Amino acid sequence: MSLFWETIQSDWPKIVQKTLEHVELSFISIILACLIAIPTGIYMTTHKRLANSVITVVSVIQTIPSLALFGFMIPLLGIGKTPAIVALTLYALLPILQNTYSGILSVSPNLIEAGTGMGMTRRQILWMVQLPIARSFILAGIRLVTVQTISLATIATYIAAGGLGDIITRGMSALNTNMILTGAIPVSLLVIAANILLYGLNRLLTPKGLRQQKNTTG
Amino acid sequence: MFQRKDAKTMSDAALEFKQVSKSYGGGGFVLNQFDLTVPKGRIVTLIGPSGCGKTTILKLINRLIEPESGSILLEGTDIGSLDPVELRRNIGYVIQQIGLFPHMTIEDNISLVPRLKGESKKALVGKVEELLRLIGLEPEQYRKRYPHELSGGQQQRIGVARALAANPSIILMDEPFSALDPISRIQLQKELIYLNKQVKKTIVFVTHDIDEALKIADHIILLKDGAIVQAASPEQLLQSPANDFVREFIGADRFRAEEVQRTAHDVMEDAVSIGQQASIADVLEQLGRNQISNLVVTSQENSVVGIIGFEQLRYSNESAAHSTRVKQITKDVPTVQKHTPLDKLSGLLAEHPIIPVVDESHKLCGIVTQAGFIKKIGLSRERGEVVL
Ligand SMILES: Nc1ncnc2c1ncn2[C@@H]1O[C@H](COP(=O)(O)OP(=O)(O)OP(=O)(O)O)[C@@H](O)[C@H]1O
Ligand SMILES: [Mg+2]
Repeated sequence: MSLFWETIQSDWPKIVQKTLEHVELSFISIILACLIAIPTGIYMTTHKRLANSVITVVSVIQTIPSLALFGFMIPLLGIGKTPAIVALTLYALLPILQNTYSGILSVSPNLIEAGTGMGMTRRQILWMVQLPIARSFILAGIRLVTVQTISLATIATYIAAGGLGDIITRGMSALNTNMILTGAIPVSLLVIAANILLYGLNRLLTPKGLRQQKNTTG
Repeated sequence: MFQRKDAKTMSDAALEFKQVSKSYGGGGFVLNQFDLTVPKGRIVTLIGPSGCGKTTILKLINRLIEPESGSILLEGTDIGSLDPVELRRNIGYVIQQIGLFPHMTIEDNISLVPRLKGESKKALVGKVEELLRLIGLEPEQYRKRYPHELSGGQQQRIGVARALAANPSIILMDEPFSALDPISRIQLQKELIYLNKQVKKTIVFVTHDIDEALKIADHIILLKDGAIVQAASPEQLLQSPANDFVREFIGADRFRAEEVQRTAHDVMEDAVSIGQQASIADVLEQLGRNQISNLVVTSQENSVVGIIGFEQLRYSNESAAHSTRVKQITKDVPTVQKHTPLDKLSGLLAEHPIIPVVDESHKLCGIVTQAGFIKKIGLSRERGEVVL
């Protein structure tokens, strides 16, 4: 145990630096995934024929083993941060896409009809009715993706993208359990922190009228 | 958009269907070469069996659906040439499934259309309050609530308020009162008639309930399989039904009871009364023995002095029960006579739990209570008589 503390103390600046790299990798990937998947998900709700093929393609990406996906990036984009972010983003697409799509479709047609009948434009229906009601679905997708991305980002070390994976792999090759722990524990802490943060955000953003009861039928 | 000037030059129809056909694809037409005229400032009810096309007609008017052929004129203008969004904002619409937005407060739901038209939320506070009062909900209590915190009937009333908020000159209502109890239903029917008469609104009202149609309509359009079976005033419909379908739909019994104007006499119960000199203990005993919550207090000549019940006694001193004479009598209660019509009675009942019925010399001869009223109306409904 005391050895563990010593490792932390001696490696502290490195741990901090790698944690920051790790956060950067994950954060950028999640944001990119949101920017791609949310609008696509929304678009798919009005183009259902497209929806099936898009979801199929994105699901296929999800089935590629993560290590292999990072490997595929090397011939395409070389090594470093960029290919890592691309790989992580690709992995993050499906949950956000699917939750956005089904969240918006879960809004009762009665509400859409009421809105249309009252003279809302399509855009107003999207912003004032569909998105607020689908918001907790979408946020649930983002939460899932955040956990997944932070864990997956440890593999980014294999294509020299940095992050806490660096510490873990170094610990593994040196057969140094303490060093592995100084890499693994921050990953877990990051996951927990991100989870709490997003949970709070969800509660804050969910309108009171939707909180007690998932009533989307009106 | 619907300016009176334009309209006058055209006709005095608020709405006209000309040879309108609508099919939802697949099997046959829901409406085939359908003609309909809705005069301005009138209440027109569409009534008919489920699936006959009532909702379809309303949706055609605000262009939620488009006809295969034919044209629909709103104050003389073909609605096909209008911007649908603009058109809908100028037509009040109460949808059959209520459709309140669950993530918006009652206030936000009601003020939605004026806000879409660009009015600020702040400027609409007064309007929202006024509408909530109109539909019989206390603004302070309900404004900030969410739809799921309201009963089905209350939600339905909010749906009505929402349709009125932008002050449209024409309102489409799809079974707006179907979930209401008889008393609120009667109140809202009255408000609707008032709106129509005072503010000159054209109202197209869909209902399943022939009693409701007979009561509120200037014109009743009886539909079957997307065609008009008879279009007539309530009186005409009762006096000369076009065929057996109409007769059956209205209810054969009604033709016997048609002339009967129902009065307090029909919903009256025996009164339980107590003398002015009685002690609190006497009152409590009477209330308990008869399983009721109010007594009529009478003078020696059996004329009505007031009302006493648990409500009034709540504040009295228990220990002095035997010695004290009743002082907490509510004195300003309204009384009615046996021939008072039911619609007046229902208004009074909304504010008083119990109303004494008196004869010409102001002697007590019975009472009307809210529970008794609803029960007796319900019974007569089953027999198919005209209620009001
Ligand atoms: N979207 C739709 N697609 C296909 N058929 C439809 C659609 N909407 C209504 N219909 C059919 O059109 C007919 C008329 O329907 P409509 O909703 O106008 O009836 P309604 O008179 O309002 O009935 P109710 O009293 O039950 O509300 C029905 O036979 C119904 O099945
Ligand atoms: Mg209908």
